[in-house]
Amino acid sequence: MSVHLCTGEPLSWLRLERYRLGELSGPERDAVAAHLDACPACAACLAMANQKITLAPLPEPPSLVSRIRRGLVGQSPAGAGLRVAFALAALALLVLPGGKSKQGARLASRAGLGIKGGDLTIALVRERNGIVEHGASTFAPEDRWKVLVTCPTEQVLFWDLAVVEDEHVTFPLLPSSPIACGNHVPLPGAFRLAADRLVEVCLVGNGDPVDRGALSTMDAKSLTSGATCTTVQPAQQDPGHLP
Amino acid sequence: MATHAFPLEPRAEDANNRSMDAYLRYGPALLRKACRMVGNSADAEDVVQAVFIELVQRGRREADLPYLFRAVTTRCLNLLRDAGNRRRLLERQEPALRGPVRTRCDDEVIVIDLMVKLVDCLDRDAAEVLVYRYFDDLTQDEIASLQGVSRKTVGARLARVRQAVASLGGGMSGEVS
Repeated sequence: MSVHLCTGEPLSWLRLERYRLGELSGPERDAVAAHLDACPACAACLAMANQKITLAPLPEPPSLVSRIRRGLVGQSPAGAGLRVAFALAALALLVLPGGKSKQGARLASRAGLGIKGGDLTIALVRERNGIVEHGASTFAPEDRWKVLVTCPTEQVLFWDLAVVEDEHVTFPLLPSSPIACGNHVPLPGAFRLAADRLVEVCLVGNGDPVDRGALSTMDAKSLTSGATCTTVQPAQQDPGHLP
Repeated sequence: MATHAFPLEPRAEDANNRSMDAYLRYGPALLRKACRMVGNSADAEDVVQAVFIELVQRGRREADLPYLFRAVTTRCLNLLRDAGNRRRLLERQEPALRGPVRTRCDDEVIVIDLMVKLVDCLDRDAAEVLVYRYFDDLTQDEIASLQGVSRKTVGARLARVRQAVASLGGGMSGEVS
């Protein structure tokens, strides 16, 4: 490491970077330019800042998935950082209250990918009139729902979400990328429920891509038997509302 | 029964695009900054990308360089505070990434090894000041602006930093040119 004496007050790296990006005001820019003319130490820093850097593409969730598959997450701070980002995303999306987490999911069966039976759970989060409730069990037409998935870290989960009412199956969320497992990982997107009877919200999870077309051809019983489901009922059927 | 899918963040795509623009514009500067702090390009890249991913996930649409500069500082400090990362970071140091180190006549040169020790005995705010002053060469006015505090507060934090440096045996003079 070489140490250089600045002729005066060294130009900070922040100022140098803003100078080269053209973000400084006229007088400030002129002052920086004058200092650079007189100070080899700061000029050397600017020369370094002007060296071209090729940025790696900003990873998106699929890249994260591939990193996990390569076993990188957990070994590098990127993994930690990205996991933190996902956790923050969950917070940012849901703004969960401080209430206790409710294990709202009934595990219908084990999913694939080597995840053991009890290791894959789902929990529903309901937003009603701006109030977010974790583990709610009744729905009204205006409610918005999100699904949180808990599965073993360092696993990758391909998934689809099905809502089953009697024999009728619908898929409320848009097809999306696989998720990196963890605790209460939010599935992308949200949905509403409109029904007059109990419905099952089922996560079909697998180590390989889930084929919605194939799921669509399955009868409800087969689908739920291979999925992780939780039940919710219309608000009017909430026992608290029954006569 | 009818179920409906709808986007939770209607403007997420817009936020994503703006974050990508910011990444392309400020990414190199932030990468250099992170390199100075953690001493290797792989970890620095991870830190910078994590900052932008968080930006996207939070749907934040505007982020200027000073804001991002501080975000990267915080993340790097978190990294350095984690004992599990330290050995790896110290082993992977690439001294050239520190860049030319400039000094004022009364300043020490703080090397990464020393910074790792210092972050243990400094509070979060003082540790930030340590980085801004000794790694990023910010003036006290710039630090005050970045941290949103008075210059006097920065002076007090800087005094704590110098005291900690002195108690740990000082910095490193390096090869003066």
